Amino acid sequence: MNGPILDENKLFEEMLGKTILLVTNSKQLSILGQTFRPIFTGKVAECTNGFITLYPVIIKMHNAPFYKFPTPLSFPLEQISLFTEFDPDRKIPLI
Amino acid sequence: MIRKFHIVAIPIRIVVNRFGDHDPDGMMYVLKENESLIKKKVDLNPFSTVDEVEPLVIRANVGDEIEVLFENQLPFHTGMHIQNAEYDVMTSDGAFVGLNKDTTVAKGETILYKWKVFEEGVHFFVDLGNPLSSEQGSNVHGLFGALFVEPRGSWWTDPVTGKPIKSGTFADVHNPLLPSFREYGWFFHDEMEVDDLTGQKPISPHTLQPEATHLVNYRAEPMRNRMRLIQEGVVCPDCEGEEVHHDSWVFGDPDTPILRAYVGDPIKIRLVHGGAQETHSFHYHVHQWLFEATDVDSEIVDVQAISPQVQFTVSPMYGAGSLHGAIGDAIIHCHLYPHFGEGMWGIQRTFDTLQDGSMCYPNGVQIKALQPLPDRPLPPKPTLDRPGFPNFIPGIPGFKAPRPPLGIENGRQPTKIERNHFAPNAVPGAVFVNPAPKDAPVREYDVVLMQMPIVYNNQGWHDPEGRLYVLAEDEEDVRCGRKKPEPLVIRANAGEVIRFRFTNKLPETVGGNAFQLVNRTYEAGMHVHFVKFDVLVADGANVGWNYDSSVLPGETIEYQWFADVELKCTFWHDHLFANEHQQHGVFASINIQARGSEFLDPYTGKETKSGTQAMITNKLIPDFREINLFVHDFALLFDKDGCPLNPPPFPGSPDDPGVMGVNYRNEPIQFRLKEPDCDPAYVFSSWVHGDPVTPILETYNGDPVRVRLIQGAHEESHSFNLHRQRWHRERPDLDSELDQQQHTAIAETFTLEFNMEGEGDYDILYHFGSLDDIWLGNWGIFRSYEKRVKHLKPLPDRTPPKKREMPLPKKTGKVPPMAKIHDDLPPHAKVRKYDVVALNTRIDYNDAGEHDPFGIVFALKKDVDDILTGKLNPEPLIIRANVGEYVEITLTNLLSGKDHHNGRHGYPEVPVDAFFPPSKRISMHAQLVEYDVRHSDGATVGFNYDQTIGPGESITYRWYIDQDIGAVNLWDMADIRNHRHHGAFGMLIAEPRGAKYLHSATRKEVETGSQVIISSPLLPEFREFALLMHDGVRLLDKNGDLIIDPEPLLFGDDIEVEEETPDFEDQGSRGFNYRNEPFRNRVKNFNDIHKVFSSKVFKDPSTPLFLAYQNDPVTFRFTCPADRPRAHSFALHGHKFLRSEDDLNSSIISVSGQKIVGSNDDYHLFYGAGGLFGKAGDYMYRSGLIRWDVELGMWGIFRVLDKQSDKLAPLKKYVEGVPK
Amino acid sequence: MSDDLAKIANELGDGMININNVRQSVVSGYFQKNRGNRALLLIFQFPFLIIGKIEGVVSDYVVIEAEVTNVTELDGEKFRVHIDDIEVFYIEQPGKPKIPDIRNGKHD
Repeated sequence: MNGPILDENKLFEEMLGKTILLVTNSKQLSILGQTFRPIFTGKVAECTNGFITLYPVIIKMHNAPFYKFPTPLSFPLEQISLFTEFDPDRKIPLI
Repeated sequence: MIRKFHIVAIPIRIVVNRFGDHDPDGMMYVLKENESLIKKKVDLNPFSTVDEVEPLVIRANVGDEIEVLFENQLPFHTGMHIQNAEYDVMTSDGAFVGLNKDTTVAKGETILYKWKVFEEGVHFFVDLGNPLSSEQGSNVHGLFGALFVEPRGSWWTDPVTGKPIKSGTFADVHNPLLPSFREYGWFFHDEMEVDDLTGQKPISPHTLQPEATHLVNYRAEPMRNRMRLIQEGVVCPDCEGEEVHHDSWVFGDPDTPILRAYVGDPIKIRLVHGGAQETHSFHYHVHQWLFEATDVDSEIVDVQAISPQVQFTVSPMYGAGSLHGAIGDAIIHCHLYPHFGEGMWGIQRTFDTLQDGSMCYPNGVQIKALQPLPDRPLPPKPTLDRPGFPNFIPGIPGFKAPRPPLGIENGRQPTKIERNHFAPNAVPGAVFVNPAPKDAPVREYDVVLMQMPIVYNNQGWHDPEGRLYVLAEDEEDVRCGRKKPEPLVIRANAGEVIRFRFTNKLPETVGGNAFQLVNRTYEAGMHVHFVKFDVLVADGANVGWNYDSSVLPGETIEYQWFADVELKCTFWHDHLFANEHQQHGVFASINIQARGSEFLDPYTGKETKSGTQAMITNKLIPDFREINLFVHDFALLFDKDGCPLNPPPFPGSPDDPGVMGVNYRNEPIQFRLKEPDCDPAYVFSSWVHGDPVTPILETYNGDPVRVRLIQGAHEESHSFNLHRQRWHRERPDLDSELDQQQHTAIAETFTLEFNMEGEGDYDILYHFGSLDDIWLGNWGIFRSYEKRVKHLKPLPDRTPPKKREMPLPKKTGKVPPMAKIHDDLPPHAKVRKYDVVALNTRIDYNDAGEHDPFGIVFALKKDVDDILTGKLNPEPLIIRANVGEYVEITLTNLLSGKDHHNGRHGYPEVPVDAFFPPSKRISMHAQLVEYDVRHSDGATVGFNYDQTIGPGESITYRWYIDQDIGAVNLWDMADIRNHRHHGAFGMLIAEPRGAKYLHSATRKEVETGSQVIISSPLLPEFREFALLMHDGVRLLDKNGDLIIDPEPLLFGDDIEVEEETPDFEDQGSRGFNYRNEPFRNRVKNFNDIHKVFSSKVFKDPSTPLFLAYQNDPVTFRFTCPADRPRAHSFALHGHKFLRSEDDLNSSIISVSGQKIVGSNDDYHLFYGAGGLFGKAGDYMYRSGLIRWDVELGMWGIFRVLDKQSDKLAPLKKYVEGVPK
Repeated sequence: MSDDLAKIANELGDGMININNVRQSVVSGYFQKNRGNRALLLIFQFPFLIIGKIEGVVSDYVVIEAEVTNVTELDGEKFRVHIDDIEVFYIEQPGKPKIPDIRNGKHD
């Protein structure tokens, strides 16, 4: 969506070009049977009033914590639980 | 997509290591296209291993259809029976079961199997054409393999060449949407008849006696061969054996699997139990994984017990090297030390530099190329200054691994090249990787490993060479008796760095008695699980090309561990001479608590540094009491007169020597018979005998408790059972099952969390399930007080208990008064009443006349006459109640007290047998239900009143079914030795609210039965099949002669039988629901063995025949009420269910393992009878143990009908308009 | 405020911005705008992953013809997915990475 970012969404816009760690709402997600907690790191490539997009983006799978997903990933703002600026190379416990 | 394979079952010589140990009669599945190559290679290399001789692994993707053209070249019928897949049981079962067609084939014939797969993971396949347990069977010779199913869209390549492959245990698996990962098939295999080069059973150079072999992927690297090289002076002549058994510096790499990866590579180990008998303990150094690979809330584990034909996917968190990226060799092994010693181990090797095939190991052997995973960063190339692991380690091939730099006090200086590989934050004990964050808090411990005599009980059973870890500051107090010896338990908080100074104060040798030959044990260390450490220098072990991170007597070494997250109890032990002395007590724990916790002594309230019990306080979570229980077998004890207790056939034999213990204590029940009655009903009573010497946990009512359960040694399965209190199987996952029992193998650890709910003062019993455990004294008491007692501090954050007015009870030497229900039912309570009688009766186990003349059964009162007149051959009492109901059992004792003996039981035997007459009393204990332990526990425990009854007496127990607990065990607690294996058990099933229980043929309401329809208003009707799996049975044949089981069924006259006394845990017959169908009663001719399950050739088996129509919803209720410590597995053909029934994220399986006394499960079959495609036919249910169980009759038939039968009423139509 | 947002605020009734509604509407609009493109959706609910072509948006549901899900049997289904339940997504754009097609069993 074009247009200015609303004040309420400025906190996302401030992250444009930065790398963040982002967690969404659900307990776990699954890609082709590989389950993982919805923890992502990556560079904020796009920010709209409805979603932000990370690219490149890493899915923090517990058995492959630096798995770079082949496409950008977008996150509806309403589904985001938290985010923080983050060095994507940092190793953190995921369990 | 359709994938096609042409698979051949071939005879093949299987050489399991470079020393020429081999099975001349090996058997394997191979792809047709590889058959001639493999045969040729084996012909050309008769004395060495051939890479292609490995269990067959083929691969497919989720959603694929697989067509296998199967060809048999073995001289008997064989087939391929697959698990977890969907197939037509009439055409693709790979067995000849019931009324089905034969889907095994004779030599030279072929058959086409079609499978469809829907879940990622292991789909094990095995031959059931020849399911004999002996050398005449196919399983022990290797006839098994697996289909590994990968995520949709995956493909797989060879890790060395990068080229696509069609089969092989190792592969790199790739997927457009998922990370590439290294896949390693890891097949445990036991009981293979391995010969040495001379064709004889291999001889241990230590004991000079024959020795067994335990295998991984048709390979074994037992100590015996390597030890011989030491003794012959070929390599490190100053070494002993075990301390260098895994040392590649001395011997080069083992022939067992080496799982190679670059640091951080994602890994999936497909863990397969292809063997026949043993429940193994899979342990993987440095790494941890989720118990349920598909559930992120699941418990993390680093040891997994695994029973025959059971499978797991082990996907270590953070990939190779774990979170901290530890490079080096991480050993993977069966933790059962005799198996470990007899060859069951391999290595996970994590490289930090690129391996393109141009490098060599320090002994000159080429390091084969390892393709980097395409989506991972390229590892740096090795350089002269930075050659990478293992080439920076300054060892000398042929000699023991060098000691680590920095850690050893007064040790050597590091070399320049070593320094080049140091982590930037290197410290002693964490040199090449140091996972500790900069400002992490540090906790320090000085630990000593020492030897002293340990007395286990008041009768003087003792270990003159007890060995234990102690804190240095406690050493003197423990040595001089001011502090009781117990396994060391220390504590730390999540986020802390734990630094150790470890000093080895052991003598140079151990043994020189009936249990053990003299053996050097001159090195020792501390090997830890779970926490993060540098495996090269702090593994407390000597593995592969790593350093030897142990020290000599008198030396001190520094280790560092980092606890990244809260963990359970975390096991540590010595890894240098574990098989020689861990059973003397060399095991300990560090419990990693939530951040900010403090640890207080429960009796002084002061901060404590160590101890098996503590109060853990924390400002954010409830304070709790903690007790560590270390269960332990192979305890090499002597009695007070110095006579060895249960000595092995020869010193050093791994054949189940010694006795058992809990925290270096035991309370054998043979010492708790009081004259003149000597009634076993009071062995647990503190009124009669005082408290046991085993650990007692004291609490106030309502206190939160965490039991930290560990098996410290050495080879057996144990089954922790606790009365009254329940916990979630996986502590982080509230969807996981509610349990009251836990199977444990060595090195597994569990946290059992619950509140001590209850009223008044009361005792609850814990025990380790099996007859052998309880007999030898593995039981104890948790004691809870309603009011304040002087000696026990209340938990700081709980309301202090009220003042006590009455004194505490004391031993009187007299039988306690009878317990009575002393509270009223709440108004409007729904009560379901059962009038139950305990009686002696003959039980016929099968149509061949095998029977137990001294059966003890629970039966409904209305059935007693029919049983006693022989009209009704009893089956175990199976009763039901709905959630929300109270159950009142009025039990009446009609026992005559007759048994085959007057005090000496004999077969099935126990270790350290003794006078123990049968009790005439009886009781009934129920698992998982809610009740007041003071009157409805069924056990006469501690200072509780008597809850057993004598002949002619009655007692009422009241239980409340508060939730859907499914099937639970019922059993007698009056006489574990003499009652349970005769049948004194039953099953209680919790059904949905409003459910009615209907006869499967008439739909009339019934009170009992193993096969019923459960009908309830809000749920679909389902068929319920109840199975009680039990062993340790004492049967007579039709002529009244005693049957000694197990005895292998052998055909032909020229068969050599190895005279081997079965282990105690194997003694006895076995069955389902007081029935069995041993092969010996069916097959008389070897050529007919594939027909053994056929009802066309023979009759239907005597075991329960379960009937359903296609797609009927079906639930199997499964319990294990008796009797021995042998763990079983339960397999169901053609159907799948959840590993944790309440957790939809748990694994989908068709074989469930680690079934042992106290197990209880509910298998809700996916898609109902006949699986997804609802195929009619006969589906076998059975044990997964080819050795003994199946052959002795632990199998039966689940028959799915396609035509209406008057033997089976249809289920209510629950979808209008869909005709049945 | 841009026209789009004004329109959304207007449609929501009172002309006041409810930030939660706006965010949801913007996501719906984005799906609407990308009709005909391939999308990848991750949802907490079964079948967890859907890859397919966006056919359109009906109120706050996106209609997507699944080429791939975690469950083979559901390939080809036309799913109406509640957009508020989409936790993670990617919609192919010209010049941006393509969503891999896993049906062939191998990369292009």
